This record gives sequence, structure tokens and C-alpha cells, in this order.
Amino acid sequence: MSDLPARTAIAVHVGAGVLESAEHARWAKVLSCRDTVERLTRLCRAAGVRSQDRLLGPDATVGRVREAITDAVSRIGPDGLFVLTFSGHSERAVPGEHLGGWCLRDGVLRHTQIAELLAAVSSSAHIVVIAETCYAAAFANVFAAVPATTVLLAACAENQATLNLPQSEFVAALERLTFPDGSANPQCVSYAWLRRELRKDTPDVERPDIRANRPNALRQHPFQSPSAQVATRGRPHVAMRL
Amino acid sequence: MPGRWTNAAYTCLMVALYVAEPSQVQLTVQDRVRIDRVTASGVEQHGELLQPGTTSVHLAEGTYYFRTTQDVQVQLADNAAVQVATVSGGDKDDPPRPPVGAALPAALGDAPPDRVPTLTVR
Repeated sequence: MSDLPARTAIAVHVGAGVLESAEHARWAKVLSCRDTVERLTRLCRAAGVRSQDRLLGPDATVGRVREAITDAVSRIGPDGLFVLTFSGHSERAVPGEHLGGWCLRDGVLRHTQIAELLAAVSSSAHIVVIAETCYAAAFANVFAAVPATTVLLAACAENQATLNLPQSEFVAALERLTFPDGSANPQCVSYAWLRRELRKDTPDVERPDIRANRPNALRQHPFQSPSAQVATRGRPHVAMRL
Repeated sequence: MPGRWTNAAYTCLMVALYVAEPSQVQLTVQDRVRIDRVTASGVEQHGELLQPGTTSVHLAEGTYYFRTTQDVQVQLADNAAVQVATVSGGDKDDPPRPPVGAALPAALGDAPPDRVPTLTVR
């Protein structure tokens, strides 16, 4: 039985495989969505996230995703953990127009709109955004104003594309490095370590990245709020059994 | 909501290699490049990452591709055995159409690269 302080931990997983808006309807179906959502659901469960919402296919609309994020944000209390994941196509930033966004079934949810929703999360909570998409690190351009410590795990840089394959190597590596077989990897002690491992043996054309809106966040234990780390300093593996 | 515009250019060239019979190919690259082979279930990495410089690679029959951020040279020992083609993949309304062989994966983004590096085949 863990003696850690209770915290709220919620995940919202979005897999927008099929797009129906006029400008995106001809785009290819995203092959990895279901596999990515399955893997990240497993990962979050292993990290102690009991409440998980999955929006796949027809459910991955702008309205439903906004609603799910808003609902999660309203329930995340101080010291809580919120994991938001996305698998799908993205629009690249257009200077003077917008900063990019995630393509959903019926339209685009801009990064700025996501950051506005996340801004309501308690400043002592921890937000993890996992983006398995092109220009994935672009979300880091908007999260500075989010009060909660926010870490972005991106499949590639903001000026890079990831390919449409049945399984995301980035997501598979993320699961293998953090919670292989559902148990915490004892070597995974910080986001900085995770970043180094994710980038090992990757080609320059597509390199995963981890970005944070607070300088010290990369030293933080992945998927733990800062207060949980204070409570468990020296016992990181116990913490993963929340 | 504050934000900043990125100045980092998106540069990418995708090259397909259609190998009709086992061949030796010399690749001269300027960045770290990964070669993938197209399989029935998806793709698999072929060999180690190529480091900047010239590397001789043995390719069995099949379809391969790689992406790079820099200009690249491909030198063929046997022109008849290997077909080399660039693959456009940025415009989703016009998906890449490889000339022969298996279908190649496309990108998950909406925009073509700002700059497409040059492919030279010798």
C-alpha cells in the first residue's frame, strides 16, 4: 500500500484517424491511431492514471475533444496529473495566421486553443502532452503561459514530419522506456533521461523531442507531479505504483 | 496567448530505391540517415544509421526508402538493377505515387518542405 498523497490523475487520448472536414477529407487515414491509443492507455494505467477518456474515429471531433479536455481540467486538483495524447495529422504553423494545430474529424484544434484550455489547470499540477504527429514539437511554442508544469513529448521537431505507418516507433519506444510490460523502468528517472533515450539512433530528418515550460521540469520523474516527487524522493519506483 | 514564430526551415527529401536484384549502392549523405525496407506489414530499418560521408550499402531485392535534410548522392554499380526516384509527400491532395514497387508511407503533416534537397544519381 502506498503512503503517497492522493492525487487526481486523468488522461484524454485522441486518435483522429479519419478526417471529414472539407479541407482534409482527401487526406490519408492515419494508420497508427488505434495502436497509439492502446499503448498510451496502457502506459497511463501503469503510471497510476485510473480515469482515461478515449476519443477515436467518429468521436474525435473538435467539440468532443474540447469537452473532454475541459472536463478533465475541471477535475484536476492541486498536485494532480493530466495526460493529453494526440495521434493524427497536423497543420503546420503559418506565420501571421496561426501557430499550427491538430487535425480532428471535423476541423482543426489550434495549439493556442489547447493551451487556453490547459491554462485552467492548477499551477501545482503536472501536465503531460504526447504528440504523435507531424510538427509535433510546435505545441511547445504556446505552452509558456500554462501555469502548471507542462512537458511535451513530441514525435518530431516543429519543422519535421513523421510518416504514416501502422505503428508509431516513437510511441512504442516511449512505452518500452517508461513502463515496459506495465512496470516502471527503474532507469527512467527523469524527462532528460527519457529524451536522450528517445533520440538515440534516430535520423536527423525525424528526431523525437521533450520540451518543458519550466526549466527544472526535465529533471522531474516522468508522469509524476512535483509534490509527489518531494514525497517520494529516494523511492522513485514506489511512486509509480500510485 | 503569447507565442513565437519558428524560423526553423522544414527541409526533407525522400528517396525511393527499387531494387530488382541484389546490388551494391554507394550513398553520400551529409546528415544521419536511416534506410527502411518496405515489408508486407509496414517497414523495417535496414542496417545501421548512415553517418555523414560515403557508405556502401548492400541491398537485396525489394523496395527501400530514406529521408534526408541535406543534398544526397547515390552511386549505382548496376543501373539496370536499381531504380532511384524522389518521392513527393508534402501535399496531401496529391499523395506520392512511386513509379514501381510497393506503396511508400506519406507524412502526417499538411505542408510541403520549405526546401527539398537535391538528389544526384551517378
